[in-house]
Amino acid sequence: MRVLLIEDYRPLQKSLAQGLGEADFAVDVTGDGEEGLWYASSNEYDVVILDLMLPGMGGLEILKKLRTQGQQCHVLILTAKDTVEDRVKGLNLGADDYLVKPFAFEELLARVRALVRRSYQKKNPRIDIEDLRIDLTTQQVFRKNREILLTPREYSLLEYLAMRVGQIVSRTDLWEHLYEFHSSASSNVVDVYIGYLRKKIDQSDGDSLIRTVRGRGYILGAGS
Amino acid sequence: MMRSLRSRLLVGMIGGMLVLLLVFDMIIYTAIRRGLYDQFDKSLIATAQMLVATIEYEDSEIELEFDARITEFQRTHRSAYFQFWGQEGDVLLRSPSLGTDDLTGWEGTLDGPTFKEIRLSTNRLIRAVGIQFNPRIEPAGEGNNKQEEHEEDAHIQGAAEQQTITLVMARDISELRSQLLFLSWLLLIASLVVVILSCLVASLVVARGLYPLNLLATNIAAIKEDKLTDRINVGSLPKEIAPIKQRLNELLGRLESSFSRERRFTADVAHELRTPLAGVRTTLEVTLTRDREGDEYRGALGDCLEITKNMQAIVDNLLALARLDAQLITFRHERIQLGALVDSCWHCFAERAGERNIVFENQLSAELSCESDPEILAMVFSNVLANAVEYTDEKGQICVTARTADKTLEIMFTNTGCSLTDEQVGQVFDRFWRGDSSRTEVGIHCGLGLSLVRMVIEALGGSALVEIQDDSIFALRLILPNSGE
Repeated sequence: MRVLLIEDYRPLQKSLAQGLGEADFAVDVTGDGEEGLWYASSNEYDVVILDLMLPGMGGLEILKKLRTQGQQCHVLILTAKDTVEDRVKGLNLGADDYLVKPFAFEELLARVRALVRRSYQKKNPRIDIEDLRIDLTTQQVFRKNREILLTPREYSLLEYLAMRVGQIVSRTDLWEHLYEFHSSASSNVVDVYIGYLRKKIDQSDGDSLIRTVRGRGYILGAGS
Repeated sequence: MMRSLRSRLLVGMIGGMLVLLLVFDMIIYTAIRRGLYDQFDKSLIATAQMLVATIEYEDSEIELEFDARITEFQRTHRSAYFQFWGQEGDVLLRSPSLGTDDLTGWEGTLDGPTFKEIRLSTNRLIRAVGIQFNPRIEPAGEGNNKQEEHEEDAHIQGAAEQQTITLVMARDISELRSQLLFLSWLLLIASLVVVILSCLVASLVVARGLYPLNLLATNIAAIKEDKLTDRINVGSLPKEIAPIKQRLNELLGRLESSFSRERRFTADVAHELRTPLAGVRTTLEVTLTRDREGDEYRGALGDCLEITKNMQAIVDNLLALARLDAQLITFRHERIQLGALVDSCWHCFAERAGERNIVFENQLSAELSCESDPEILAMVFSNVLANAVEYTDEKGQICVTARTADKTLEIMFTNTGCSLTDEQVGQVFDRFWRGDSSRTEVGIHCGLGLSLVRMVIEALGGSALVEIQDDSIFALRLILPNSGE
């Protein structure tokens, strides 16, 4: 899943980027408001974490502009402003969640994951596709009750496909949601990881859960 | 000491009324008494003159032409008395009503009547008028010739002229006295009634008059310390009390703004500390999510240490501000070499400026000095320089210059790379305000610096001004009082 972090306080920016990255999110980071708006407008993020007091352009201004542009990304406001008016104002302008500094990183992570699930209309933090089970919270994957160990990148790929289960997901789409902006990897890398993933989750009986739709992308589970 | 306004007013009003009434009573009493006595005396004199007119002197005998036995002078009736006596004190005639009493030994004058009050042996009080007169002479005989008549006349007249008779005429005065006594009682009782009634009326009037004060007090009592936005709201107040209400409302206004300033300040402080706290917490939490290499732990701890130092600076500045607010700081007075002080303050920022290729130029001459508190001034310079280093552009320039005037010393700090608008320049002295131009580059910067600078400079008796020169040079001028060399 891809996350944009707009936060100007460098120590927090640094540790948040690290924490989110380690939680298998592809994170883009900026400390400037205008730059943040540009990132959010020109990429498809699952969640935008937005500070309010920013140089360049205020967080609320960014939010307003994004919503005017029709951006559907989920926005979590992360700020030191803690009054009810501030929260109400933020939420009324189109934010999906509001977290006051200082916060527990665990909570932020849980909220970001909840927002991701909401993006794909998944209320249950457990996804079952035939005999494949994905626990979104613990990031564990089981097939026929046997745990499959995946690398972070493989897991992210599976998670995104699972979120859009039964839909054809294009390679570009996958690449955009799994790699940060400055990543040097090309979209071909997606094919490579699909290969790794198939090897791990598909059984030797040849029954493949991930199918290739020629010229369009990949589909997990029984597609229409 | 009477504490109540109400009782003071009541006592004052009723006391004053009592005195006025007494004076009034006395005037009335005196006037009526005088009138009654005048009347009495006039009638006394009239009777006496009537008696005098009826007197005839004949052969050394007094003859009364009216009937002396008229009831007024009778013993039984005893309401009027008279007595005549001659020059030698020989009683010529007296009224039967006198009984054994004697009115001699006291006499009037020829010039006019005199009055006296006498108590008789019967304990009866009488008022007497004394008249001296020369009686009319009755001609001796009808048949004398004219010559003889004239001679006789002259002789007798001459004798009569020498004969002076005194008449004391008196009347019972007890009736007059009882009338006066009745009058005095009447006045006293009437006054008492008036006093009692006025007590009632006055207490009503005072209660009514003090009602707006009570209303005001109730209104004031209703204002709680947590609702200072309330104002005293009493419709129409008398013009004596209206200013009190106005002053109190003004006081409330000042209290409210001072309280809300405090609240805003506390909120600002909380806000300002929240972000670095979030930094420390997240850094530590993320670091603890898994086992890491030693270098990673060291890096995270180093980050936390930096944030903590920054927070300490915020707290130090806040403490200094609070002390300045409470006027707890006393300044020392020493001669300070300003150039050297600026250099020593710059020392802390030289490394940071070097990273950003900022050129620093201290143009203060070595002799430039002033009388001030070196530690406080160092704090001011450090804050100004910290601010300048944070906001100067990459490869920019910071410059310190000075100029002395008659009684002031002006130190000017300029730095390039300023992108503040005029409106923003007006805000640089606000607590927690910060220019947002390059915070991403430099990390957190506490927005207390310049507000502290201004407070300190003002406490030192100077002033601090900012301006933008040539569109992009930020100039901060510290004007200090200069006591001379």
